[in-house]
Amino acid sequence: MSSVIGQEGEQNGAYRLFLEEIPSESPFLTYVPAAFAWSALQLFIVPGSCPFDLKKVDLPIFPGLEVNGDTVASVKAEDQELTFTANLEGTECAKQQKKDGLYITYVTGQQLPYSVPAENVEWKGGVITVKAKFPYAELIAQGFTHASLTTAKDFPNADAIVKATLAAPAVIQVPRSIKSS
Amino acid sequence: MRASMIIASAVGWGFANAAAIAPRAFQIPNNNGFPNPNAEQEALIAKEAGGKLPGGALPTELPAGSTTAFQLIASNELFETAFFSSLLNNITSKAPGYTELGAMTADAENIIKAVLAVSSIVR
Repeated sequence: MSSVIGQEGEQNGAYRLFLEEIPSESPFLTYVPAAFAWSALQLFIVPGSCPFDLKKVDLPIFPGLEVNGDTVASVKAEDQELTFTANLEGTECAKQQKKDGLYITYVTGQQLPYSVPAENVEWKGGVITVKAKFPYAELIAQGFTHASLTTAKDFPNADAIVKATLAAPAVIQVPRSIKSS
Repeated sequence: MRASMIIASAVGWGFANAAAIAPRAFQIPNNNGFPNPNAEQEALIAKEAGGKLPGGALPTELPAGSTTAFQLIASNELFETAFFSSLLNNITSKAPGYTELGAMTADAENIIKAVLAVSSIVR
């Protein structure tokens, strides 16, 4: 398995050079809980096209979480506010039009999950929009960070986030140019 | 199970929105028996990928959760095959937005063909 990981790393470094970015995006690649990887993969699968019943795979599929209007946001290396949206149509939270007790939980590198309160919570039918601080400086969140809309905070590890997740993963990428700044 | 490799391997995702289902302009490799190549086809893929499958005896038992892990990985490699076939098609057909490579275009095509073979083998 690790030989495959190393190979993927080799590819990644090459692609980053094509994009004129420093090959190593951060010292430790960002951990992604399997359920989030599985949820993200669904975006690329035409529904119903797989001959294997995807529901048989023992992982939950979460509604997508968009950041700054798209699944992937490329943001500057600084603290800033991000806007998150998710279609939670049909869920308990949507029925209650829940505004309190919501958080955006970030995972970057191998660090502990970092939750911030979801602010300015607005509902349009079943679609929720929230704003949240992206604590770039605190986390040194270079490269890839993912975010989830959660009903709890203070998670001991990234896998623990899954049980309290409403929508995920939003992909945040902080680019790092090879050109000196 | 290192799921981070899956996200890490799709740098700068340009998303094809799954809701906009257009007929596929690219072809996933279908002249090499993918996804079930015979021995001869497998040898061809191995040559392009730069290596053969792992040797040694297969394990006689797997820890719990292995099935799910392998399903996730297999799905990802299938996705990569489609993703890179699409990328290769965009570069070779000089689609808008894919023409910046200039002198590196031929190199890029070689790289992607090798990566495609690698995705096939890993699957």
